[in-house]
Amino acid sequence: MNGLFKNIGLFLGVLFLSNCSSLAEPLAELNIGNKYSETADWLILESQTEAPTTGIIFYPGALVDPHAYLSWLDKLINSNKKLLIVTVKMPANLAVLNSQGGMKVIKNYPEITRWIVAGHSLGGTMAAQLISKHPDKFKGLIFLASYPANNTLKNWNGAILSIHASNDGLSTVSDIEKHKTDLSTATVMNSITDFHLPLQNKTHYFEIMGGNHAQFGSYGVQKNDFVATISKEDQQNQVIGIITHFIENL
Amino acid sequence: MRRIYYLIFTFVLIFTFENQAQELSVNIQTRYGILAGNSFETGGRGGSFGIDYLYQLKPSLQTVVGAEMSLVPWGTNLSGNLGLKYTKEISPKWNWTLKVETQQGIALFRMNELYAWGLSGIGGIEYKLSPKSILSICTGLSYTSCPAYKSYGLITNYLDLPVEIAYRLKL
Repeated sequence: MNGLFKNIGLFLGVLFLSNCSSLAEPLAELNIGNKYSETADWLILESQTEAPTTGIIFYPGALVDPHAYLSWLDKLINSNKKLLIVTVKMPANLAVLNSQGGMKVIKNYPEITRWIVAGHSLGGTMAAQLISKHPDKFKGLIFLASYPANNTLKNWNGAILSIHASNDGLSTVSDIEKHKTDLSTATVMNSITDFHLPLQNKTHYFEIMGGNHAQFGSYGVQKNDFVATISKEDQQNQVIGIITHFIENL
Repeated sequence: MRRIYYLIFTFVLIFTFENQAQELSVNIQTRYGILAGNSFETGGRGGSFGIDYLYQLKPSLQTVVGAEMSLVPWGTNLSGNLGLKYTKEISPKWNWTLKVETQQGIALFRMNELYAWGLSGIGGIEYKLSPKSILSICTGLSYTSCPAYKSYGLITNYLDLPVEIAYRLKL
């Protein structure tokens, strides 16, 4: 009987240690200016004044509280008031457990005519899985420090944007490089406006110099990440700028 | 530090009853949402895996002490459970059962775990597979709250309809 309890304790201990999520910054410190609401499944951001026409479904990184991205997603709406951004909450904060969760969002907003799916880290990989299963539902895919698990999107005719950071210790520059062959024709950007039109059938790559993995969100330091040499605000402002231009050209 | 405290608390509860307890139960639960905060909101809402130790107080009443890991909308909860279970035999093979339980534990967040608690009441039927083993299916209501999560999100409590399948072994 004692052996059984030891095994149960070990099992719970492993689960315990492997399921701690990183908390976001407190909501009050985020100064969200746009219309923000929350359901059991989603965090929803949209302009207070304009009706959205383009929707972004956002998948958070693994074991990261979904509120950790609200700060820059709110600023992204300031750059484009026609955006609706829905962050999908994941069971145990693991996107791999709900990779198709974005389809429920699309069904809930029939008035949105253009959908993009974006994800950070594992969230990006699962965003790619969502498009693999429903390629006709989406116009664009945005990877943040992420890459696909396979090459099912190699011939997808949508637009792909891949933003990564030079000091990322988890999705390293060489990881991103290695997976370029899994996606459509690679185009390396030299500035945040350096898009080669039309965007369809291409994957645009942008490297944020001095940025790291954790600064794509606001959840503190991440184990095994490298030290960033630019501020979180600087990194996130670059992300906002690139995505804004990407959507304008879509 | 608090993390260690809660783990020790859970296992002290379990070992306290080890020499007197009569049954060990393993259960899995899936939850269907009813309320999210103050809003009526339905849909699948995670589940849990738990292990309970049952000690007989009276022929039809048992105390339940256990540990549970549950998937909730803010992530993962780990809790120690304490409750009462009432059983009424309706035939040599079948029982009615009712269990009320409180969960005291933590929401697993790195650097800063948050206190989480819950209350559940479920009832259902049990089938005796053999003199020593029992299979049960129950449903009812389950309330989960993480008060300190209000600093990070707008919804800090949920009311769900759980469906639990449990396998119990007489020791």
